[in-house]
Amino acid sequence: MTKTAAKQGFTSKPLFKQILLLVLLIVLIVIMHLITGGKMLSMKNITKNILPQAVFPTVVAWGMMFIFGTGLVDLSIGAQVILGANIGAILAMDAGLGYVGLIIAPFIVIVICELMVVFCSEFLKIPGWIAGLGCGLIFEAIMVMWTQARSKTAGSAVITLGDDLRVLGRWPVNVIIMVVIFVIVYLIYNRTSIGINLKAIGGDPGVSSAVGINRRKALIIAAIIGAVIVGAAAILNISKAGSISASSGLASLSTIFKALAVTLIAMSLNSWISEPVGALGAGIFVSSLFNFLTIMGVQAGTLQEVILGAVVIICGVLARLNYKGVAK
Amino acid sequence: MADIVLKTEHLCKFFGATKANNDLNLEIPRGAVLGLAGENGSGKSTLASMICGIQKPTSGKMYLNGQEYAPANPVDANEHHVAMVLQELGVVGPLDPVTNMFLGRTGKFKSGPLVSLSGMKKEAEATFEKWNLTKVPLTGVAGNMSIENRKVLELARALSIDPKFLILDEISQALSHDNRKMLYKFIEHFTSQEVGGTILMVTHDLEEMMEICTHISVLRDGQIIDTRPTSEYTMDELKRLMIGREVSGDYYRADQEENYQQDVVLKVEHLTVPGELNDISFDLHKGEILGVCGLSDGGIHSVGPALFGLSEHRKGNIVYVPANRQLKGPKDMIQTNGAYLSKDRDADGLMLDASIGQNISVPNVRLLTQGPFKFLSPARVNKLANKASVDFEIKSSGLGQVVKSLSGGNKQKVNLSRWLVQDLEYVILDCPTRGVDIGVKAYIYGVMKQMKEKGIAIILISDELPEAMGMSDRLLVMKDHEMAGMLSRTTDFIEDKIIEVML
Repeated sequence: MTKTAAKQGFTSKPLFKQILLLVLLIVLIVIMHLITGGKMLSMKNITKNILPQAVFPTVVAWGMMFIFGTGLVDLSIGAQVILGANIGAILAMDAGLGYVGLIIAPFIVIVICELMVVFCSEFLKIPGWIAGLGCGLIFEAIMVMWTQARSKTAGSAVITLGDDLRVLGRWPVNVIIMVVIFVIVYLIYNRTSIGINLKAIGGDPGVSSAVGINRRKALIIAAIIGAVIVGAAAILNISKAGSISASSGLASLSTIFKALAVTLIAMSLNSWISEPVGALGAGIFVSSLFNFLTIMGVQAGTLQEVILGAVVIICGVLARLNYKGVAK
Repeated sequence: MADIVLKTEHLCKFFGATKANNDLNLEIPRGAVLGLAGENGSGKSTLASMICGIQKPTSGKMYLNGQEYAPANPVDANEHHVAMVLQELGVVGPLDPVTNMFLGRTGKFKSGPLVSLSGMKKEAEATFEKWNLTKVPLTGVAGNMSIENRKVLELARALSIDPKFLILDEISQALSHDNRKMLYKFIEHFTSQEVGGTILMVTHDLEEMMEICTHISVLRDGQIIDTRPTSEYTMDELKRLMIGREVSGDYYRADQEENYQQDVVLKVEHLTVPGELNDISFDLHKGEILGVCGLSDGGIHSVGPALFGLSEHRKGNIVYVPANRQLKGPKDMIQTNGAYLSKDRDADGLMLDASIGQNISVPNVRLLTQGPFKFLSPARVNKLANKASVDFEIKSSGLGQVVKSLSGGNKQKVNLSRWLVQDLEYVILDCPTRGVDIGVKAYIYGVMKQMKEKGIAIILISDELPEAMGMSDRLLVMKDHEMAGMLSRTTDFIEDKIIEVML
């Protein structure tokens, strides 16, 4: 072996970066805590606000990770959540199926919706984001028509879950479910052939095909897994909120805005840290940030989003600083 | 009768009206290193890709060890112990190197539903050990590896399937001196009786082909012109068969003198990029070809981006002396009639999804605009793109063809032509002949000689020592990211002497 080659060896660096990120996250949260005069990290605030509010965006982000990871930027996920959660609630309440309807329907509905987007994109050969937006409008319209019809027959457009059906959305059940989903997602994403193939396709479809990965098969599997995870998020969300209103004109996008931010942060940090872990950290951070801003009296809907947008950009910049993409 | 490992019978591959491979009949004996010689676009990579299952033949048959062989995909080829290292860079950037090594075969490491990462890493390290390959970092993401390390990784990936038939498509073009030595040792070992492997090698380095290969097949316009043991070819004959006409045997400079004007064009002082370059200083003169060479990871490929202003945290001074102007970035370089050609043409040079015409015209926009509103003149754009295309003999269906669809060599021709059609004062060329055939190589060297005569200063960064020695006036030899010496063509251009400085 040559001197130069021997010097290179099998070196390792990522652990340092991962520790650095964790420390950074803790430091930021502690700073926010101190600024709020010790209010933010009180046990009550953590268990009532920060963690429960992190659940939905984080779980949706894990689902998006699978879907976006293949290169399919599907912006209909918000509409899918609204449609799936509401059909679950209708079956649970109106059809009297209780938890069976609440749990099974969102999974089935969202898997069907996601496959519809995949097929539109793949077989009609249109970019994923266009397929997603088109399908999103359709999903929203279906829900709006359904609720309009319901308002005439049942007297109310909004389906509200009964208290006895909202256990999954309460502390600590929702957080426990999030942890279970995290473990499953982590293992599938990092430790199975499905996850590896999905990341390979997202990274370089040409090379992936050249090494024999069946792109279309991997894409469909990833979409199904992603949709199941988004389905879980929809169940957790309606269980927590009690009801979700139908929306139109792609207003459903706002449902997943935080999840989108979490996904972007996790993706931007993926050369430093595994995406499922990144999404968990980002989910908690985003929830903490919004909680901090709320405590500080910053108006929701405007300045809070500006700050979140800035955080996403900063994370992206930081993560790319050391990534060459191609070495010279 | 020789033991034939791979045989092709009337093998054809057509892309529409283009006959990439036409009626190929080939027999490769066990233990052979068969070199495929041919110009860019002659069909070498297409043949290789059919053997390894990336493409399916339009017609004809292949036989492996006497059995009919029709790989459905690369995994199927691997299962037949056929592996390939692709001409283009073939790693997935966001994944780690170990995962890259076993992509498409991760199921092999399943322990229950999960893939054993430690098992993969262990086997990756064992592959490097078994074949005595240069160790490359196996952590982090593959996108952060140097081109050279990626190629070594791709070789390791091919070897990890325990191949008996290996295709190396222009792998050595990405390797520097020491890793080429490693590759040659590996080839010798792989084709020894002990291992019993067979290699199909595609390379544009004919000296390398004559030295390494036991047999050579010449392809021209998709057809096999000739196949013989290497000992039966002379270099000139091989060139003539490839090109279809006589090519001058010696295309490097004939003179042995350090010869340039005294006027300094660029003055580089204490150029430093943390972790990449340390305190590099030199003067570049009018009409000088300054070669930059060194061992792998010695830092030579950091010189181009640093000079051109692409490296972050660059320190030191670069002055364009005729105007006494500090050069801080690409804009300064271009405004002072400078240019830079990166080694990695796909990532840093070309717009792969754009047409040949667009690629050629973009760096020349300032020459092609007219009037107070700087409108682009379509007539000028077409004229310039046509000129570049004709001068560099780019084989394409027209200027509208997307660059991504061109062969590797033709891509490099587009990459070069887009800069070299300009009236430059100085140019930084990082491996300009990487992946181009002998005809284009001769053309590029010819262009460099003409540029030198016109007084244009050239920095030639090269992994190929004969090229650096053959063309340069002075050689800046690098070692461990520092300048180890500045050697003169007049007195110091002896291979052993240069290698001594490198080491």
